[in-house]
Amino acid sequence: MKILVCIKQVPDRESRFKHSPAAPGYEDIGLVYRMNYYDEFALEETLQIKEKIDDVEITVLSVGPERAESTVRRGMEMGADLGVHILDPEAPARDALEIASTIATYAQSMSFDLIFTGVMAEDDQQCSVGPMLAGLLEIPSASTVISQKLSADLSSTVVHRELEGGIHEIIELPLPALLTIQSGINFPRYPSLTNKLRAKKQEIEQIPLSAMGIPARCGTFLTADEPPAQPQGEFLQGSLDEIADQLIDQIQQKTPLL
Amino acid sequence: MQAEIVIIVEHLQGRVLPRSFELAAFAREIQSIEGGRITAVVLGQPVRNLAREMAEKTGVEVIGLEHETLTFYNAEAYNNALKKWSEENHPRYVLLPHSATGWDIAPVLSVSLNASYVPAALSLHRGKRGIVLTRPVLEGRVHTRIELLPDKPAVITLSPGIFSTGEDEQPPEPGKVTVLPVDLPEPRSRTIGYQDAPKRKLDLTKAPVIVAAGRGVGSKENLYLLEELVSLFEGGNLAASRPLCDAGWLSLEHQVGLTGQTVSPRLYIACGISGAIQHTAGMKGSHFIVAINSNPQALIFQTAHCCIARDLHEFLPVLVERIKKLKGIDSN
Repeated sequence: MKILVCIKQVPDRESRFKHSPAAPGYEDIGLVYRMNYYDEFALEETLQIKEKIDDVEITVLSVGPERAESTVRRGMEMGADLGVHILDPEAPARDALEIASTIATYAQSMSFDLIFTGVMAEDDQQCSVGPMLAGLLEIPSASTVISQKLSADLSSTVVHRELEGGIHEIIELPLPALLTIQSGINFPRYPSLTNKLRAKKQEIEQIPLSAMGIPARCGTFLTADEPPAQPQGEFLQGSLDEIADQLIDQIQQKTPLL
Repeated sequence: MQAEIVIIVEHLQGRVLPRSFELAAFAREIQSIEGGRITAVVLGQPVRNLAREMAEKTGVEVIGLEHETLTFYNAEAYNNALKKWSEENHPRYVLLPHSATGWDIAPVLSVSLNASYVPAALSLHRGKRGIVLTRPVLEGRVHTRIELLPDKPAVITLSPGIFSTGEDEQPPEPGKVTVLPVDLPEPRSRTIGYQDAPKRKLDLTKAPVIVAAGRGVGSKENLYLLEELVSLFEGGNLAASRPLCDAGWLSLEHQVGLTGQTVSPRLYIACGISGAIQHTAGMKGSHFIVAINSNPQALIFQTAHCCIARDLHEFLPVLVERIKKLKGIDSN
């Protein structure tokens, strides 16, 4: 069974971001990057499939600039068998269709049985590349998957999709299929020493974007700006003792609770 | 039939979801800039009551499409139906909510229709070459402006809660309702059914005080700092943002947010919570919101009434001592 996991390298969400009018809308300065949170769950899910079934090969793939290589390697350290990096210096500025069409060009001749992505990328929260990729490859997809179970003959999977309010929608999809994975489906593992050593020595297949053809766009980025500051509450100042006293005071004024 | 602006109605278990009504307001904004007729499309079996509900609440003309493959929501069946309908009706704009269902179909539909695509739109305005959509990145710290591609339809998903229709608005004249059978192929995937959210033993909606833990708490062991604070308030309860439940620090019962519980206590103290919309959607109606986060740029400070940009590990013990002193509790 061949599984593809599409992963994205994203900036840490607690970084101090500096806005830019050019796509993606912020400067690449002083940011710390790591694997998208939701992609960890997607990859872990495939590693658990590999533990239960014989003959599973997992490929992690990322479309990204040079620095994305480290995230592909991290995927291999977690246990993926193969790593593919489609080198695209403009990737952070691309829209969902550009990324999806690039991955589709790679995947279409590869006959993956399953393709997993995280439900969304933390930085833009579009939730789009996965389902778009499925549309381009003409395979069924299900998003926001909170549990999945392959049939004994590996021809289908039954998934639970998590809807707002925690309701589950239960769907059976034949393979090949694409699933976008919601956090909480499993507990992503830390890289084992064995896998870290293996990943260190292993080649990552690096493919220049030009080999994938010109990606199709789904819109035109015009500009980006910082929205007007929302009316904020008061920031309390002073020593911790002083702040505590001010807070207690406010709670007493605004509620009957103290 | 001319159908320039099309709303795809999201419904669940026999009721139209309120975010579908928001689409009508968004459609009217597009109409005010570009003209065009607004039509809502409801897919289901049976569909008449849903279509009527949408027509009555929004005043928009509603087409209900029925087929046995539409009995439950099914991404492929919906895509089949909408692709077929679009071939006959040529929509210019297709609008869906940016919800788990919306992002399940909209990207696929945009590929089927060879359309422009903008997810999670916040607003729109008239640009030099047509409509420009604004959408958030970095959880709303930055807004990007996207222009649609010329000579193509556009699929747009709308961030929920932006175009809330007012309670006191004059209900419009109900729109016309037409229900049509449609012939569709059998989808490859099969919707088996639904499972309700698990009954929660912990009903956070009744708690007058909630102290909520976010990633900034750092470890499961550190939760004791919040537990101490909670214990000082009668009826106080501990809650958590989703990542803590994902990590197993607290059970799902404690989760406040879009996929958890929605609460509005008198006092909500958010500790080490970043303020992502998935969380704030579940608590922004609270009467008095206090946020403690060491990052002064944390998004939670845009929702909080009282902002404390300090390390919760240092501040909470001090706060607990002060409250104990106030209550005459012996600290040991």
